Parts: sequence; C-alpha cells; structure tokens
Amino acid sequence: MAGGGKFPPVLTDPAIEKWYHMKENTHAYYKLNRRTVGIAVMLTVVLPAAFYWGSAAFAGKFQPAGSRRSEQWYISNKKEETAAQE
Amino acid sequence: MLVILLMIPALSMITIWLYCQLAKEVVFTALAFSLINLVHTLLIMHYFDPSTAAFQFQTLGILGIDGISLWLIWLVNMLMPIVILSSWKAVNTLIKPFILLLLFISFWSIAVFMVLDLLLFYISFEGVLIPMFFLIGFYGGRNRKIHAGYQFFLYTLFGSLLLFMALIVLYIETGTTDYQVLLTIPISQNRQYFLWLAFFISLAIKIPCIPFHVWLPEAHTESPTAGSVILAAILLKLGSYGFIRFSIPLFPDASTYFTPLVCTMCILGIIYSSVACLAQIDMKKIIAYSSIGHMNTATIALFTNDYHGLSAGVYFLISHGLISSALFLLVGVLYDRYHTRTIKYYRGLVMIMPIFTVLFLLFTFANIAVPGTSGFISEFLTFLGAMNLNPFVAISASVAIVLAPAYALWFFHRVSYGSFTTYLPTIYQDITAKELHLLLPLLFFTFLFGIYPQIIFEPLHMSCLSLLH
Repeated sequence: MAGGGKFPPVLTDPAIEKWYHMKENTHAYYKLNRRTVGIAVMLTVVLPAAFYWGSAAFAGKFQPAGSRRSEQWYISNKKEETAAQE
Repeated sequence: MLVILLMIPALSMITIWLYCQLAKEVVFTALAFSLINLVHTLLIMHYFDPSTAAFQFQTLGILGIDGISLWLIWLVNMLMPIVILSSWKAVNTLIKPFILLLLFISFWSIAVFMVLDLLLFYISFEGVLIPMFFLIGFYGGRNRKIHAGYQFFLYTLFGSLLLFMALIVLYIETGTTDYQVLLTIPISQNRQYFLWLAFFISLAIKIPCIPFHVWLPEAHTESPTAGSVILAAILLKLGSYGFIRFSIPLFPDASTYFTPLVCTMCILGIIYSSVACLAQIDMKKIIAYSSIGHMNTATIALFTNDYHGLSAGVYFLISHGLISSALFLLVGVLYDRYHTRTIKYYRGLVMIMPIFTVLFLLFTFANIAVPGTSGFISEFLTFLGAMNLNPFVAISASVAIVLAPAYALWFFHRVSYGSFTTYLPTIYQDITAKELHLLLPLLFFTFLFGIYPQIIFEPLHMSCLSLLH
C-alpha cells in the first residue's frame, strides 16, 4: 500500500496499517447482534419511513412563492381563508 | 458541426493506434486532438442561440444540443486535456492503451449528451462501461482493483438491463425511439409508472443513490487519478442527465408521483454519505462519499419541478464536475509522491507544500459551498427550489450544509495543519508547475461561475422552462 512513489516510501506504522485494514474490512467482521440489528432497523426502516412520510405528507401542501405578507404558506389554510373571504 | 465533436476523439484514437509508439507522442497527440475538440466546443457555444429551447445544430436527426447538454459537453471537453496531461508520467506502463481508453470514454460521454434517440442513448450509456472497467481493473493501484472493476461494471449493467427493457416496451408501444417524437406521444399513467421505475433504477445506480452507491467508493479508491476524475466529473453526470433529458419530460405524471420516493432516497443519500465521510480514513473515499452527497442534492433539485431547482440541478452538475475533479487531482498529487492515501500519515503539510495547501483550501471551500464559489450558487438555488417543492425536504436536505463543512474542513485540517508528520520522508516538493497548470483552469472556472453564474444560466433558461410540468 505505501511505497513505490517518486519519493522514498512513507515510514509505515504497523498500527496504522492494521487500523486501516480493520476500517476497510469492517463489513467482513460485521455480525448481527442486538445492537447492530437495532441500528440497522433504525437506518433502513425507521429513518427512511420517517423521511418518506415527510416527503409525501407535505408534498404540494406549501406554496411560499408569490405569497403576500398576510397569506399563509400552507395551502389548506389558504383554502379556508379564500372561503372565509368569499 | 456536432459530428465533428465525435469525429475528433475517433480520429485521435485511430491516429494514436496506428502512428504513435512513444509515450510522449501518444500523450501529445491525444492532447492536441482534445484541445481541438475543446476549441470546437467553444465555437459551438459561440453560435448557440440561448433564446430557444429547441435542439440546435441538429445532425442526421439523431444529434442535437440544447442549453442543458451544451455545458455538459463543455465539461467533458474541458476536462479531457487535463486528464490526459495528469496521466503523463503518472502512468508508467502501457500508456498507449490508457490514453486510448480515455479517448474512448470521451467519445461515448460526448455522444450521451448529444444523441436524440433513446437507443443511441442506451448504447452510449453502456459504451463508457467497458473502457472504464479496464481503466479501473487494469490500471488501478491496489489489490482490490479487479473486484472494484467488476462491481462497477455489474452494478451499472444490471441497471442498464432494466433501462433496455423499458426501451423495448416504449418501442413496442410507440413504434419509435426518437426522443423528439416520443415527446409528442402521450403515454398512459400506469405505463409511465412502470417505465419511470425502470429508468429510475438504472439512473439511480449511476448517480448513485443509496442503496445503489456501493460501487462508487470502491471504484474511486482503486482507479488511477485520471479514472477518478472521469468517474466523478463525467460518469456520475450521465445518471442525472438521463433524469432531466428522458425521465422527467417523457414521464411527467410518474415523475410527480414518485417525487417523494426520490426525495426520500436523496435525503438518505445526503445524510448517510456525509456521516460515512466522517468515518473515512482514505482520502479518495472521503471525496467519493462527498460526491454521493452532492449528486443526491443535485437530484433533489432536478425533481423540484421549479425553475430555480431545475437550473440549479444542471448548474450543480457543472460545478461538482469542476470541484470534485480538482479534489481528486490534489489527492493524486500526494499519492504520486508518497503512494499512500491514509490520512494518518499526513499532517502539517502546509509547512512543506504551502501552494498545495492553498489550492486544497480553496477547493474545500468550493466543496462546502462558500459564497463566491460555484458550490454556493448550486446549493443555494437547490434549497430554494426544494423549499418551493416541500419545506420538509429542504430542511432535511439542508443537513448537508452542516455535515459537509464538518467532514471537508476536518479532512483539510488533519492533512494540512498541526505538527509535521513523522511518517513522511525528508524529501519534499510542493506542487509542480505541471500540476499547478492542471488545477488553475478548474480554480478559475469554479470562481468565475460562482461570481458570474449567469454565464451558465443564460443558455439553460429556455430549456429549464420547457421542462416544467
């Protein structure tokens, strides 16, 4: 990994090389236990579901562009205002 | 006129293959042809009419460019001389096939951004895979290069098979793959959903969206500097270009329907890739994960169905192409000297490489969207467009504004400052004239586009307006 460049090679440190190998091959030592399953569920199910809910629930509900000072951004409120004005 | 853009790389490949033997001959011939192509691109830009969204310089009914493809073609042709020069004396064995592979990638990349036929787009989209596979698998520097090459190839190929399937369904339904004809043919909503999903999986692998991103960090770390530059600056743009050219205009109902899905995947991509950056110890992997985050931000911009968002998305592609190329070149400067990319071995580089540190700092600023750089314009307008679409998406994606400086500045600080490292040998050399001249154009354009973004937005204006649905 180190050495073979234009200059004399880097003075390698076995501890750093071992740490590098450990970091690069984390997936090879990955095991499913209570902690990792919890993290996996959080990252693959809970967070994506939460972000999808937010993306879908609020899609098309806000209209900030061209709003006047007295107007609300939230479209549902806009409909009530319009109905009240009428 | 557009055919010449393709003929020049083809001619250069033939010339080099038949007549050039020495490394110097190969590199200078390739450089000359790529500079001719760049000049030709500038001529096209001069004669381009920004007041229309129609495809211009149409040739044979299958080639044409608009404001979106114009700057992407410029990006390819601007980067090719830089990539070719960066390989000179960096690649010691079999330079001729290396340069031929680069030119082959250049040919297909330019073709992708010019073709007006879906089948030709598919062929060009696939065409870059094979030379890139050899670039990574043969010219890579480490043990896992073949694994990385196969991973890159198979991931993209799998996605492309779905794209091909969608292409066949589209052809059976409409009887044509001509893009301009397809724009006029209405496609039923249910069919749109299926076709959009098939397109999406293929293009999402290229962007790359999480969870299809696994191939990118491996491909970047295993490939040579030139390969990384091409991968980050050009190949990643193919996916976003596919979205803006084909998915969104051909399947507008499906694009609107699936926008929450795209936004979700992109937000996850931004957050997970940024956090992954913080945990990396290989310099190239940091920039690779950073690229994932940025490309996902650009994808959110493309799906905002907002003028600011759409133009920001395309602008983002150009900006990211410049900044990530420069960062990879800077890492390549260090790797050429010391042949290691582990961050732990570097510290206090400002003492021995001050000019390198200054350039590194400037491009880090551009990477984290500091005002004055092109990164700021792209991120600002992206979040403006996202806010108009859905404030929840904008606020979630804006986590990148916090995380990007976290990993980028930490990376810069660890490498540049502190007491000088004890691991590097006592022979030092700051950035050479050649390396500086490779980076200066990228620096110039990064700040030019950051100070005067209208230069990119003007040709984009009509094309982006025509994409709104």
